[in-house]
Amino acid sequence: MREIAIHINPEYKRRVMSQSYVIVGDGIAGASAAETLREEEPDADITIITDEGEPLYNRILIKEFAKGKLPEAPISIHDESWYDDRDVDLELNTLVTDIDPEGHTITAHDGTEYDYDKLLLAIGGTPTQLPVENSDAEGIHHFWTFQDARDIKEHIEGADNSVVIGAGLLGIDLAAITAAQEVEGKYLMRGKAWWRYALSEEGAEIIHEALRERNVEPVFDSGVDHFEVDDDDRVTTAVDPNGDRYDADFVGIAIGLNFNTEILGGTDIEYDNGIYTDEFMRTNHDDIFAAGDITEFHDLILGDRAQNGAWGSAKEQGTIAAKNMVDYGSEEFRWVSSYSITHFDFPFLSFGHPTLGDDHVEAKYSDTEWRRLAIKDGKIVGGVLIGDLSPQTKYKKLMREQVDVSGQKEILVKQDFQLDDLEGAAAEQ
Amino acid sequence: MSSKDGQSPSSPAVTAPPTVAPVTDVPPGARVHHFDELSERTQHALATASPAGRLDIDTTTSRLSRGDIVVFTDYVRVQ
Ligand SMILES: Cc1cc2nc3c(=O)[nH]c(=O)nc-3n(C[C@H](O)[C@H](O)[C@H](O)COP(=O)(O)OP(=O)(O)OC[C@H]3O[C@@H](n4cnc5c(N)ncnc54)[C@H](O)[C@@H]3O)c2cc1C
Repeated sequence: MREIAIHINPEYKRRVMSQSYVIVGDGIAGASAAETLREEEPDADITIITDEGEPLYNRILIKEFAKGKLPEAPISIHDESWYDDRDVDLELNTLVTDIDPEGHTITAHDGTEYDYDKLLLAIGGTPTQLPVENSDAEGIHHFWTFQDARDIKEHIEGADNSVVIGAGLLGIDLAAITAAQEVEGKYLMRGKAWWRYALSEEGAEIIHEALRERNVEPVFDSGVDHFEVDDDDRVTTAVDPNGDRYDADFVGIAIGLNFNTEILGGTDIEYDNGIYTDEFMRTNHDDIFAAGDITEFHDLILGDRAQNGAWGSAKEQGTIAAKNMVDYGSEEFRWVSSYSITHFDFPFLSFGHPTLGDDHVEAKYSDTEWRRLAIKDGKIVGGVLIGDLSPQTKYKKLMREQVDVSGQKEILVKQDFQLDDLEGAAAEQ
Repeated sequence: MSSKDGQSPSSPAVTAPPTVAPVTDVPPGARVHHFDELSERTQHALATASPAGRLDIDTTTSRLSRGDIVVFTDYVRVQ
């Protein structure tokens, strides 16, 4: 029998045949991408794959659950009907293990292959394990998933004393959980201040004092050398590098994230700490995009590669990635990220990249009010506000518009700073 | 707006500007947001109004609705 070859213009084919989109990761980045893709392409095939056992939940509220302040129900964002209603295939408990960019397929742990026209990697990170003796003992917790929060809650409710390690934004959540559950604790920090790369000792002291008031004692120039365990392999004591011993039947560790890049091994997708993307969230492969915590994206504001670790940024990247998967170049990611702490009587907000910069300016206004701005090449690149969040919008505007504030940094930290306090070009913004 | 509030859509309380008030318990079925989910504009309004006061947002465009709880330095309820 004679076969007739029909040649279809690929662009025509692209438009008339429904596209197939596969998203790996059902966190806020992956889920917001699925929502946008469905809005933009009503007929497309959309599949979202996650190794977790439950659909999207509010990762930034699980700390409130672990504190015992919120029940489970409001933490769930999507139930399975959300996906059915939008004709999105949801694959739970499915770990993607391989990507074949040339063949346009990915493979899951059970051997199932998924074909895609466009792929989105929204795969986030996994908490880093502390490389010390007995760090896998019973009673030692890391904190990323809802299941982690359930385990933490169950354990802390019956605990007598605690140790928290990791002087950053996730460590303080663990410390706040021990405080809310009224378990006295020690918070072991390597330097002399909490989040020492973003706050000075003066600023951090406001946080230290709030912790002390809640029966959590910061311990400086410390850390963990090893843990001691009982006969049942349960943690009993943290021993720091100075040989000081801290008894604890609950330990929380938050020393950073390892980004989930293992599945890129064997591909030529470019990555380092995270996956490299341009400002349209596209990788070096035309049909592969990335969004959320996993990306090292081209930051148009910084003029450099950057990585964000915040809910709002991950959500926006998911939306932007989806738009560019449908129509590449249609919308760029231009965003000043922010992250707040709500555990204390005073508010705390960090924005942009507060740990970067070649210069900074800071001021303290009261026992609970302090500000620091990080400056690079004369421009604001990030900051931390404690106590009064009202200048957030002004500082973010200056950062977004890359206003040169050289020579005027003291004006920026006047307590009632207004944009038109700045002279010259900056004041016209 | 919602039956959670026990008010009909035409009741004066609904057309009045929204306010926030601190709460200690989260009513079953309430929608809960973390402060970081809100837009910069809504964050500013909420930080200004908290823990109790008039919330300067447009409820037709903001993602906050009456009855919602926001986790800030206190838990506050939009009403
Ligand atoms: C306890 C805690 C508190 C936080 N508090 C705040 C806060 O107050 N404010 C704020 O702005 N941010 C906060 N964050 C950070 C914020 O939650 C993250 O920045 C955001 O959720 C990142 O979203 P994402 O979708 O990029 O990644 P994730 O939410 O990590 O989602 C990635 C998903 O991909 C899945 N996955 C990974 N690899 C694979 C694979 N190979 N196959 C299948 N599935 C895979 C993962 O299991 C995960 O479900 C907090 C984070 C935590 C853990």
